[in-house]
Amino acid sequence: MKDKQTVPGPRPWLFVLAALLSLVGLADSIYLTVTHLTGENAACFASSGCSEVLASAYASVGKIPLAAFGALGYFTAFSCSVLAAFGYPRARSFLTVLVAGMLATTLWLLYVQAFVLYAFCDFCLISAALTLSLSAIVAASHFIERRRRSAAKQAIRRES
Amino acid sequence: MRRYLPFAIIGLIFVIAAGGGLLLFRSKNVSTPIRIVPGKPGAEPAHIRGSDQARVTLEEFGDYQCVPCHFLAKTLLKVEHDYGTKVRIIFRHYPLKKHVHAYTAACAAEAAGVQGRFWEMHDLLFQNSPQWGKETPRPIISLVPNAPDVSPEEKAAEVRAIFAGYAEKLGLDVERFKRDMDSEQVRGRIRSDQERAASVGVDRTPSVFMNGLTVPYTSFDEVDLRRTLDAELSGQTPTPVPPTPGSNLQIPTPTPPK
Repeated sequence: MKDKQTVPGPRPWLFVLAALLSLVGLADSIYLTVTHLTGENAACFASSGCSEVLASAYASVGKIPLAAFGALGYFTAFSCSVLAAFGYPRARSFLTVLVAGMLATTLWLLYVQAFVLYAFCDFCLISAALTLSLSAIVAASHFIERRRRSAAKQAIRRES
Repeated sequence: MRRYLPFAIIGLIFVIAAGGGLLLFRSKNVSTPIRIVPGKPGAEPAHIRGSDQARVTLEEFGDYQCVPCHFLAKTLLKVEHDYGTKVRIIFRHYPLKKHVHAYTAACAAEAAGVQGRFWEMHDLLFQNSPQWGKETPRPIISLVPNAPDVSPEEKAAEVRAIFAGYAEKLGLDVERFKRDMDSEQVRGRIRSDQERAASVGVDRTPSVFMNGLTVPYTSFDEVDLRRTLDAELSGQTPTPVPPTPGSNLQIPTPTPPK
Protein backbone atom coordinates (compact mmCIF):
# COMPACT_ATOMS: atom_id res chain seq x y z
CA MET A 1 0.00 0.00 0.00
CA LYS A 2 3.04 2.24 -0.03
CA ASP A 3 2.46 3.45 -3.55
CA LYS A 4 -1.13 4.43 -2.91
CA GLN A 5 -2.02 7.64 -4.71
CA THR A 6 -1.38 10.89 -2.86
CA VAL A 7 -2.01 13.39 -5.67
CA PRO A 8 -5.17 13.78 -7.73
CA GLY A 9 -5.21 11.26 -10.56
CA PRO A 10 -7.52 10.56 -13.43
CA ARG A 11 -11.09 9.63 -12.67
CA PRO A 12 -11.52 6.02 -11.50
CA TRP A 13 -14.35 5.35 -13.97
CA LEU A 14 -11.83 5.45 -16.79
CA PHE A 15 -10.06 2.50 -15.22
CA VAL A 16 -13.34 0.76 -14.47
CA LEU A 17 -14.11 1.07 -18.17
CA ALA A 18 -10.61 -0.24 -18.98
CA ALA A 19 -11.21 -3.19 -16.63
CA LEU A 20 -14.51 -4.02 -18.31
CA LEU A 21 -12.95 -3.86 -21.78
CA SER A 22 -10.10 -6.07 -20.56
CA LEU A 23 -12.65 -8.60 -19.33
CA VAL A 24 -14.22 -8.76 -22.78
CA GLY A 25 -10.75 -9.16 -24.28
CA LEU A 26 -9.97 -11.89 -21.78
CA ALA A 27 -13.10 -13.82 -22.75
CA ASP A 28 -12.29 -13.35 -26.46
CA SER A 29 -8.71 -14.57 -25.98
CA ILE A 30 -9.74 -17.56 -23.89
CA TYR A 31 -12.23 -18.59 -26.57
CA LEU A 32 -9.57 -18.31 -29.28
CA THR A 33 -7.05 -20.20 -27.16
CA VAL A 34 -9.48 -23.04 -26.56
CA THR A 35 -10.49 -23.26 -30.23
CA HIS A 36 -6.83 -23.32 -31.20
CA LEU A 37 -5.99 -26.06 -28.71
CA THR A 38 -8.97 -28.20 -29.59
CA GLY A 39 -8.92 -27.70 -33.35
CA GLU A 40 -12.50 -26.47 -33.38
CA ASN A 41 -13.76 -23.95 -35.90
CA ALA A 42 -14.03 -20.47 -34.44
CA ALA A 43 -17.61 -19.32 -34.89
CA CYS A 44 -16.93 -16.37 -37.19
CA PHE A 45 -19.97 -14.30 -38.08
CA ALA A 46 -18.80 -11.47 -40.38
CA SER A 47 -15.51 -12.34 -42.00
CA SER A 48 -14.71 -15.59 -43.72
CA GLY A 49 -11.03 -16.00 -42.99
CA CYS A 50 -11.10 -17.34 -39.45
CA SER A 51 -9.67 -20.75 -40.22
CA GLU A 52 -6.95 -19.26 -42.40
CA VAL A 53 -5.85 -16.83 -39.72
CA LEU A 54 -6.13 -19.25 -36.84
CA ALA A 55 -4.37 -22.05 -38.71
CA SER A 56 -1.59 -19.84 -39.99
CA ALA A 57 2.00 -19.92 -38.84
CA TYR A 58 1.38 -16.56 -37.17
CA ALA A 59 -1.26 -17.92 -34.80
CA SER A 60 1.17 -19.53 -32.40
CA VAL A 61 4.60 -19.09 -30.91
CA GLY A 62 6.07 -22.56 -30.93
CA LYS A 63 3.37 -24.71 -29.39
CA ILE A 64 1.69 -21.87 -27.54
CA PRO A 65 -1.29 -20.18 -29.22
CA LEU A 66 -0.79 -16.45 -29.61
CA ALA A 67 -4.25 -16.01 -28.10
CA ALA A 68 -2.91 -17.43 -24.82
CA PHE A 69 -0.49 -14.52 -24.65
CA GLY A 70 -3.45 -12.28 -25.39
CA ALA A 71 -5.36 -13.79 -22.48
CA LEU A 72 -2.39 -13.20 -20.21
CA GLY A 73 -2.12 -9.62 -21.47
CA TYR A 74 -5.80 -8.89 -20.95
CA PHE A 75 -5.81 -10.43 -17.47
CA THR A 76 -2.81 -8.31 -16.51
CA ALA A 77 -4.50 -5.25 -18.03
CA PHE A 78 -7.62 -6.06 -16.01
CA SER A 79 -5.60 -6.39 -12.79
CA CYS A 80 -3.75 -3.13 -13.40
CA SER A 81 -6.99 -1.35 -14.24
CA VAL A 82 -8.66 -2.55 -11.04
CA LEU A 83 -5.65 -1.50 -8.97
CA ALA A 84 -5.48 1.83 -10.78
CA ALA A 85 -9.20 2.39 -10.14
CA PHE A 86 -8.43 1.89 -6.45
CA GLY A 87 -5.71 4.53 -6.66
CA TYR A 88 -2.45 2.68 -7.21
CA PRO A 89 -0.28 4.94 -9.41
CA ARG A 90 2.29 2.23 -10.14
CA ALA A 91 -0.47 0.07 -11.57
CA ARG A 92 -1.29 3.00 -13.86
CA SER A 93 2.30 3.19 -15.05
CA PHE A 94 2.46 -0.55 -15.61
CA LEU A 95 -0.85 -0.46 -17.47
CA THR A 96 0.57 2.20 -19.80
CA VAL A 97 3.60 0.07 -20.65
CA LEU A 98 1.48 -3.06 -21.05
CA VAL A 99 -1.10 -1.43 -23.31
CA ALA A 100 1.67 0.10 -25.43
CA GLY A 101 3.05 -3.42 -25.95
CA MET A 102 -0.41 -4.79 -26.72
CA LEU A 103 -1.01 -1.96 -29.19
CA ALA A 104 2.25 -2.68 -31.02
CA THR A 105 1.37 -6.38 -31.20
CA THR A 106 -2.13 -5.57 -32.42
CA LEU A 107 -0.84 -3.34 -35.20
CA TRP A 108 1.56 -6.06 -36.29
CA LEU A 109 -1.21 -8.66 -36.33
CA LEU A 110 -3.50 -6.37 -38.30
CA TYR A 111 -0.72 -5.93 -40.84
CA VAL A 112 -0.25 -9.71 -41.06
CA GLN A 113 -3.96 -10.28 -41.59
CA ALA A 114 -4.33 -7.53 -44.20
CA PHE A 115 -1.13 -7.90 -46.21
CA VAL A 116 0.27 -11.37 -45.55
CA LEU A 117 -2.68 -13.71 -45.02
CA TYR A 118 -5.30 -11.62 -46.87
CA ALA A 119 -7.82 -12.85 -44.34
CA PHE A 120 -9.34 -11.58 -41.14
CA CYS A 121 -10.96 -13.31 -38.22
CA ASP A 122 -13.74 -11.66 -36.28
CA PHE A 123 -12.35 -12.44 -32.88
CA CYS A 124 -8.96 -11.02 -33.82
CA LEU A 125 -10.65 -7.84 -35.00
CA ILE A 126 -12.66 -7.62 -31.77
CA SER A 127 -9.42 -7.96 -29.84
CA ALA A 128 -7.82 -5.26 -31.97
CA ALA A 129 -10.75 -2.92 -31.32
CA LEU A 130 -10.51 -3.59 -27.58
CA THR A 131 -6.78 -2.91 -27.51
CA LEU A 132 -7.26 0.30 -29.47
CA SER A 133 -9.95 1.33 -26.98
CA LEU A 134 -7.68 0.49 -24.05
CA SER A 135 -4.95 2.59 -25.64
CA ALA A 136 -7.36 5.50 -26.01
CA ILE A 137 -8.40 5.16 -22.35
CA VAL A 138 -4.80 5.08 -21.14
CA ALA A 139 -3.95 8.09 -23.29
CA ALA A 140 -7.02 9.90 -21.95
CA SER A 141 -6.06 9.07 -18.37
CA HIS A 142 -2.64 10.61 -18.89
CA PHE A 143 -4.18 13.68 -20.52
CA ILE A 144 -6.63 14.12 -17.64
CA GLU A 145 -3.92 13.58 -15.07
CA ARG A 146 -1.75 16.20 -16.70
CA ARG A 147 -4.61 18.70 -16.74
CA ARG A 148 -5.47 18.05 -13.11
CA ARG A 149 -1.85 18.40 -12.03
CA SER A 150 -1.57 21.62 -13.96
CA ALA A 151 -4.78 22.94 -12.37
CA ALA A 152 -3.53 21.92 -8.91
CA LYS A 153 -0.24 23.76 -9.43
CA GLN A 154 -2.07 26.89 -10.54
CA ALA A 155 -4.30 26.72 -7.48
CA ILE A 156 -1.25 26.44 -5.21
CA ARG A 157 0.34 29.43 -6.92
CA ARG A 158 -2.83 31.47 -6.47
CA GLU A 159 -3.01 30.55 -2.79
CA SER A 160 0.62 31.49 -2.20
CA MET B 1 -11.61 -4.24 3.96
CA ARG B 2 -11.34 -1.81 1.03
CA ARG B 3 -7.60 -2.46 1.06
CA TYR B 4 -8.12 -6.06 -0.02
CA LEU B 5 -11.07 -5.47 -2.31
CA PRO B 6 -9.10 -5.01 -5.59
CA PHE B 7 -7.12 -8.17 -4.93
CA ALA B 8 -10.31 -10.06 -4.15
CA ILE B 9 -11.79 -8.87 -7.46
CA ILE B 10 -8.65 -9.87 -9.37
CA GLY B 11 -8.59 -13.27 -7.68
CA LEU B 12 -12.26 -13.86 -8.40
CA ILE B 13 -11.82 -13.02 -12.08
CA PHE B 14 -8.78 -15.28 -12.26
CA VAL B 15 -10.76 -18.19 -10.87
CA ILE B 16 -13.70 -17.52 -13.21
CA ALA B 17 -11.43 -17.14 -16.27
CA ALA B 18 -9.36 -20.24 -15.52
CA GLY B 19 -12.41 -22.32 -14.64
CA GLY B 20 -14.40 -21.10 -17.63
CA GLY B 21 -11.48 -21.76 -19.97
CA LEU B 22 -11.05 -25.26 -18.59
CA LEU B 23 -14.76 -26.04 -18.93
CA LEU B 24 -14.80 -24.71 -22.48
CA PHE B 25 -11.73 -26.77 -23.32
CA ARG B 26 -13.30 -29.93 -21.94
CA SER B 27 -16.52 -29.33 -23.83
CA LYS B 28 -14.74 -28.74 -27.15
CA ASN B 29 -11.81 -31.08 -26.89
CA VAL B 30 -11.84 -33.25 -29.99
CA SER B 31 -8.47 -34.89 -29.59
CA THR B 32 -10.30 -38.15 -30.13
CA PRO B 33 -10.70 -38.62 -33.87
CA ILE B 34 -14.18 -38.56 -35.34
CA ARG B 35 -15.31 -41.11 -37.90
CA ILE B 36 -18.21 -40.23 -40.07
CA VAL B 37 -20.34 -41.52 -42.84
CA PRO B 38 -19.14 -42.05 -46.41
CA GLY B 39 -20.15 -39.19 -48.64
CA LYS B 40 -20.37 -38.82 -52.38
CA PRO B 41 -17.47 -40.41 -54.24
CA GLY B 42 -15.84 -37.28 -55.67
CA ALA B 43 -14.01 -37.14 -58.98
CA GLU B 44 -13.13 -40.56 -60.32
CA PRO B 45 -10.42 -41.64 -60.64
CA ALA B 46 -9.14 -39.60 -57.72
CA HIS B 47 -5.71 -38.02 -57.80
CA ILE B 48 -3.67 -40.34 -55.63
CA ARG B 49 0.03 -40.10 -54.93
CA GLY B 50 1.70 -42.96 -53.15
CA SER B 51 1.61 -46.71 -52.98
CA ASP B 52 -1.56 -48.73 -53.45
CA GLN B 53 -0.34 -50.79 -50.50
CA ALA B 54 -0.09 -47.76 -48.18
CA ARG B 55 -1.54 -48.38 -44.74
CA VAL B 56 -2.45 -44.76 -44.27
CA THR B 57 -4.49 -42.70 -46.71
CA LEU B 58 -4.59 -38.95 -46.22
CA GLU B 59 -7.41 -37.29 -48.11
CA GLU B 60 -6.96 -33.54 -48.39
CA PHE B 61 -9.59 -31.03 -49.45
CA GLY B 62 -7.57 -28.04 -50.52
CA ASP B 63 -7.58 -24.68 -52.23
CA TYR B 64 -4.50 -23.57 -54.16
CA GLN B 65 -4.82 -20.00 -52.97
CA CYS B 66 -5.23 -20.83 -49.29
CA VAL B 67 -2.20 -19.95 -47.19
CA PRO B 68 -2.43 -22.86 -44.70
CA CYS B 69 -2.79 -25.21 -47.70
CA HIS B 70 0.47 -23.81 -49.05
CA PHE B 71 2.22 -24.65 -45.78
CA LEU B 72 0.54 -28.05 -45.55
CA ALA B 73 1.67 -28.90 -49.09
CA LYS B 74 5.29 -28.43 -48.01
CA THR B 75 4.72 -30.65 -44.98
CA LEU B 76 3.00 -33.35 -47.02
CA LEU B 77 5.86 -33.45 -49.51
CA LYS B 78 8.29 -34.16 -46.67
CA VAL B 79 5.95 -36.74 -45.16
CA GLU B 80 5.49 -38.50 -48.49
CA HIS B 81 9.25 -38.59 -48.96
CA ASP B 82 10.00 -39.91 -45.48
CA TYR B 83 7.14 -42.42 -45.10
CA GLY B 84 7.55 -43.88 -48.56
CA THR B 85 5.07 -46.63 -49.26
CA LYS B 86 3.36 -46.36 -45.88
CA VAL B 87 1.40 -43.24 -46.74
CA ARG B 88 -0.54 -42.11 -49.78
CA ILE B 89 -2.24 -38.81 -50.48
CA ILE B 90 -5.55 -38.08 -52.18
CA PHE B 91 -6.08 -34.48 -53.20
CA ARG B 92 -9.56 -33.10 -53.77
CA HIS B 93 -10.51 -29.60 -54.86
CA TYR B 94 -12.36 -27.27 -52.57
CA PRO B 95 -11.75 -23.79 -54.07
CA LEU B 96 -13.22 -21.12 -51.84
CA LYS B 97 -15.20 -18.33 -53.42
CA LYS B 98 -13.27 -15.64 -51.59
CA HIS B 99 -10.07 -16.75 -53.31
CA VAL B 100 -10.60 -15.23 -56.72
CA HIS B 101 -8.00 -17.37 -58.51
CA ALA B 102 -8.52 -20.62 -56.64
CA TYR B 103 -11.04 -22.07 -59.06
CA THR B 104 -8.85 -21.21 -62.06
CA ALA B 105 -5.93 -22.85 -60.29
CA ALA B 106 -7.99 -25.98 -59.73
CA CYS B 107 -8.85 -25.95 -63.44
CA ALA B 108 -5.16 -25.63 -64.27
CA ALA B 109 -4.28 -28.62 -62.11
CA GLU B 110 -7.05 -30.70 -63.66
CA ALA B 111 -6.11 -29.58 -67.18
CA ALA B 112 -2.54 -30.73 -66.50
CA GLY B 113 -4.07 -33.95 -65.19
CA VAL B 114 -5.70 -34.52 -68.58
CA GLN B 115 -2.17 -34.73 -69.97
CA GLY B 116 -1.04 -36.90 -67.07
CA ARG B 117 0.82 -34.21 -65.10
CA PHE B 118 -1.62 -33.37 -62.32
CA TRP B 119 0.79 -33.74 -59.41
CA GLU B 120 3.54 -31.78 -61.10
CA MET B 121 1.16 -28.88 -61.71
CA HIS B 122 -0.28 -29.31 -58.19
CA ASP B 123 3.19 -28.90 -56.69
CA LEU B 124 3.99 -25.92 -58.91
CA LEU B 125 0.73 -24.18 -58.00
CA PHE B 126 1.30 -24.59 -54.28
CA GLN B 127 4.99 -23.69 -54.44
CA ASN B 128 4.22 -20.48 -56.30
CA SER B 129 0.89 -19.55 -54.70
CA PRO B 130 2.46 -16.66 -52.72
CA GLN B 131 3.36 -15.12 -56.08
CA TRP B 132 0.38 -15.79 -58.35
CA GLY B 133 -2.05 -15.49 -55.44
CA LYS B 134 -1.11 -11.84 -55.08
CA GLU B 135 -1.60 -10.94 -58.72
CA THR B 136 -4.61 -8.76 -57.99
CA PRO B 137 -5.85 -6.99 -54.88
CA ARG B 138 -8.30 -9.12 -53.00
CA PRO B 139 -11.19 -7.99 -50.82
CA ILE B 140 -10.05 -7.36 -47.27
CA ILE B 141 -13.20 -8.69 -45.66
CA SER B 142 -15.66 -10.94 -47.42
CA LEU B 143 -19.13 -10.73 -45.97
CA VAL B 144 -20.27 -13.47 -48.30
CA PRO B 145 -20.16 -16.94 -46.76
CA ASN B 146 -17.93 -19.48 -48.47
CA ALA B 147 -19.70 -21.03 -51.41
CA PRO B 148 -17.79 -23.97 -52.81
CA ASP B 149 -19.84 -24.31 -55.96
CA VAL B 150 -19.32 -20.87 -57.50
CA SER B 151 -16.84 -20.33 -60.27
CA PRO B 152 -14.96 -17.01 -60.23
CA GLU B 153 -13.45 -17.71 -63.63
CA GLU B 154 -14.09 -14.18 -64.92
CA LYS B 155 -11.75 -12.87 -62.28
CA ALA B 156 -9.16 -15.54 -62.93
CA ALA B 157 -8.29 -14.59 -66.52
CA GLU B 158 -5.25 -12.60 -65.50
CA VAL B 159 -3.50 -15.57 -63.91
CA ARG B 160 -4.19 -17.89 -66.81
CA ALA B 161 -1.08 -16.69 -68.55
CA ILE B 162 0.95 -17.64 -65.48
CA PHE B 163 -0.60 -21.08 -65.40
CA ALA B 164 0.00 -21.49 -69.12
CA GLY B 165 3.63 -20.67 -68.35
CA TYR B 166 3.70 -23.49 -65.80
CA ALA B 167 2.18 -25.82 -68.41
CA GLU B 168 4.93 -24.86 -70.83
CA LYS B 169 7.53 -25.44 -68.13
CA LEU B 170 6.12 -28.94 -67.59
CA GLY B 171 6.33 -29.65 -71.30
CA LEU B 172 2.57 -29.84 -71.82
CA ASP B 173 0.71 -29.03 -75.01
CA VAL B 174 -0.14 -25.46 -73.99
CA GLU B 175 -2.98 -24.91 -76.44
CA ARG B 176 -4.66 -28.10 -75.35
CA PHE B 177 -4.02 -27.14 -71.72
CA LYS B 178 -5.81 -23.81 -72.25
CA ARG B 179 -8.76 -25.53 -73.93
CA ASP B 180 -8.96 -28.17 -71.24
CA MET B 181 -9.05 -25.54 -68.49
CA ASP B 182 -12.48 -24.54 -69.76
CA SER B 183 -13.68 -28.02 -70.60
CA GLU B 184 -16.70 -29.63 -69.03
CA GLN B 185 -14.55 -32.63 -68.13
CA VAL B 186 -12.33 -30.48 -65.90
CA ARG B 187 -15.20 -28.53 -64.37
CA GLY B 188 -17.09 -31.73 -63.76
CA ARG B 189 -14.20 -33.22 -61.81
CA ILE B 190 -13.93 -30.13 -59.63
CA ARG B 191 -17.69 -30.13 -59.14
CA SER B 192 -17.58 -33.77 -58.09
CA ASP B 193 -14.91 -33.01 -55.49
CA GLN B 194 -16.95 -30.07 -54.21
CA GLU B 195 -20.01 -32.29 -53.95
CA ARG B 196 -18.02 -34.83 -52.01
CA ALA B 197 -16.73 -32.06 -49.74
CA ALA B 198 -20.26 -30.88 -49.08
CA SER B 199 -21.50 -34.41 -48.48
CA VAL B 200 -18.92 -35.08 -45.79
CA GLY B 201 -19.26 -31.68 -44.11
CA VAL B 202 -16.05 -29.98 -45.17
CA ASP B 203 -16.35 -26.28 -44.42
CA ARG B 204 -12.79 -25.01 -44.63
CA THR B 205 -9.42 -25.57 -46.19
CA PRO B 206 -7.33 -27.46 -45.66
CA SER B 207 -9.43 -30.34 -44.35
CA VAL B 208 -7.62 -33.63 -43.98
CA PHE B 209 -8.96 -37.09 -43.20
CA MET B 210 -6.70 -39.97 -42.24
CA ASN B 211 -8.17 -43.39 -42.98
CA GLY B 212 -11.61 -41.88 -42.50
CA LEU B 213 -10.79 -40.02 -39.31
CA THR B 214 -10.55 -36.30 -38.71
CA VAL B 215 -7.14 -34.71 -38.46
CA PRO B 216 -7.50 -31.49 -36.43
CA TYR B 217 -6.00 -28.50 -38.18
CA THR B 218 -3.77 -28.02 -35.15
CA SER B 219 -2.01 -31.23 -36.24
CA PHE B 220 -1.00 -29.92 -39.64
CA ASP B 221 2.49 -28.89 -38.65
CA GLU B 222 5.16 -31.42 -39.46
CA VAL B 223 5.88 -32.66 -35.95
CA ASP B 224 2.23 -33.22 -35.05
CA LEU B 225 1.38 -34.76 -38.40
CA ARG B 226 4.23 -37.23 -38.06
CA ARG B 227 3.04 -38.07 -34.55
CA THR B 228 -0.49 -38.62 -35.85
CA LEU B 229 0.75 -40.81 -38.69
CA ASP B 230 3.01 -42.81 -36.38
CA ALA B 231 0.11 -43.44 -34.02
CA GLU B 232 -2.05 -44.65 -36.90
CA LEU B 233 0.71 -46.86 -38.30
CA SER B 234 1.31 -48.42 -34.90
CA GLY B 235 -2.40 -48.89 -34.25
CA GLN B 236 -2.44 -46.44 -31.38
CA THR B 237 -4.95 -43.97 -32.76
CA PRO B 238 -7.61 -43.35 -30.11
CA THR B 239 -10.93 -45.07 -30.69
CA PRO B 240 -12.96 -42.83 -32.98
CA VAL B 241 -16.18 -41.30 -31.80
CA PRO B 242 -19.25 -40.29 -33.82
CA PRO B 243 -19.65 -36.62 -34.72
CA THR B 244 -21.28 -34.45 -32.12
CA PRO B 245 -24.82 -33.21 -32.79
CA GLY B 246 -24.74 -30.03 -34.86
CA SER B 247 -21.29 -30.77 -36.23
CA ASN B 248 -20.78 -30.31 -39.96
CA LEU B 249 -18.37 -33.19 -40.07
CA GLN B 250 -19.48 -36.36 -41.73
CA ILE B 251 -16.14 -37.82 -42.53
CA PRO B 252 -16.07 -40.64 -45.04
CA THR B 253 -13.96 -43.70 -45.05
CA PRO B 254 -11.58 -43.21 -47.99
CA THR B 255 -11.56 -45.72 -50.77
CA PRO B 256 -9.45 -48.69 -49.66
CA PRO B 257 -6.19 -49.32 -51.49
CA LYS B 258 -6.62 -51.24 -54.70
